[in-house]
Amino acid sequence: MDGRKGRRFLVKKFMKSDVLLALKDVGKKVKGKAILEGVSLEVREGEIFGLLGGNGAGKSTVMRLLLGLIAPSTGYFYVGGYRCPPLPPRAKTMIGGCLDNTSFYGNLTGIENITFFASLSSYYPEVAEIEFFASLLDFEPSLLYKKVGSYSQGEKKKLSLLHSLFPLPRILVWDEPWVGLDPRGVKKVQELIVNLNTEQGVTFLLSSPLALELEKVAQRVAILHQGKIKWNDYLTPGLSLGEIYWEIIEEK
Amino acid sequence: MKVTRAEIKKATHNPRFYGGILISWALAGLVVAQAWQDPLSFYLGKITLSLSLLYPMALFGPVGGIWGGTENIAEERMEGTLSTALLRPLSRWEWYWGKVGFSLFYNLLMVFTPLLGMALLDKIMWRGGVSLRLLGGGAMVVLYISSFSALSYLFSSLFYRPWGGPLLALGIGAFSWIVERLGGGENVQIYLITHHLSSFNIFFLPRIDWHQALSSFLILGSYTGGGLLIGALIFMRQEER
Repeated sequence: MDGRKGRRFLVKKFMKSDVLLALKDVGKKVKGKAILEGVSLEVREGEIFGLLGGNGAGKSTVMRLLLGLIAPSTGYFYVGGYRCPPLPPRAKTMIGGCLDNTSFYGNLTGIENITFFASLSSYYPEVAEIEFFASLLDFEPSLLYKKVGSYSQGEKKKLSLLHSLFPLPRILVWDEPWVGLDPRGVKKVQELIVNLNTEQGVTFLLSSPLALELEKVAQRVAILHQGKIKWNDYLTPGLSLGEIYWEIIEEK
Repeated sequence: MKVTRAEIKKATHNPRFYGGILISWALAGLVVAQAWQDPLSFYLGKITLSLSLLYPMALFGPVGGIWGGTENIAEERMEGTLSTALLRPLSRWEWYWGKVGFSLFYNLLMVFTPLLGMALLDKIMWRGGVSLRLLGGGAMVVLYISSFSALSYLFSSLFYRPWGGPLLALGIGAFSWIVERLGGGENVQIYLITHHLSSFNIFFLPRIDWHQALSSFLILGSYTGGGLLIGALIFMRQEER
């Protein structure tokens, strides 16, 4: 066992087994401007964790960081027991992602895009499997055979959620999953999140600027404001996430 | 390999992929038309169709190889598909070399498919055929085109504009050609990329000059390998914000 493997083995052994995602005092600076400052949070296995914050709060930065697209300037994070950065491909097999602006090849159809990106995970989904998940998202099966270049914003969003399901990972990190969707689409996405969580045991990290939508599915929420975690707790009946959020904003 | 395989499959949906191959076949068609019009000079000059094809291939191939191949790094980055791909269990290193693998495969396809067609025609018309000389000449042209592809990769890893990398790579080719035409400094000229435009000819001389062949392979190989490696190192240090 070489040193690097040994370190990972120890990390896996001593990392809390039920914590799948963790940020430890993470900071991120871009061109001298602090986007994140001392962010620490943990997402446990089987949990639906929400990250609430306004525009520019740093939600997408947290998501991109956990998905290995960017590296923190300070601190570190864990994905499935692997200390990062860098996010090793083995840890990436556990995590699926949908960015706020996931892009696809416009000259390929929806199904061709899904199979192309899934093949990068060495996974080759059956058409019936894709159509099944598409129906759960209220995504017209005929749309799967149309070029993505002709899709509306909402259809692109549904495709980006859909593509992250092949193969179905242990952790799904979805950045603003209901942006651009109509109320029916939002409801379908929320139902899918709850179904995947309860039936398949998928752990979710969701980000959204909408407290009302987030509290419908999330079990625990952290409020991110100006790059800092301001609140992090379980949601209980009678607790209004929106009111807590406004209190934090007005504290400024 | 999985990235290269996926890229090949994706490219079959891209008109640019067929465009580059079609241009290389059109060049072959022009060579055949020329031989058809003046078969005697071809026969007397002992010029084969395949040898006649290599020069226009080397001349136009860099453009075909750069644009026809696949979306370059800057293009993928600007369209956002690079981030989507990197969500998969791939390292940046793996993705980059997978893309490069496809580009090299495309250059091989673009040169060798019409070349083998021409060799077949040579066999029918002049009882020529596929020889090691032809393979050597073809490999030299592929390496020449690939050195431009490598420069394009290097520059497209630096830029966010899709046309920046290809234009700069071709600009370097044009600059090298002008410097060469200005003459002088023979010791330096050998290191210019366009100096090796006709290096495939070495393989068609009555006696192959292996020393010259090796130096051309080394210089073009350095452009290709060096360009790709520096591009990879730059790409590894970047982030997808």
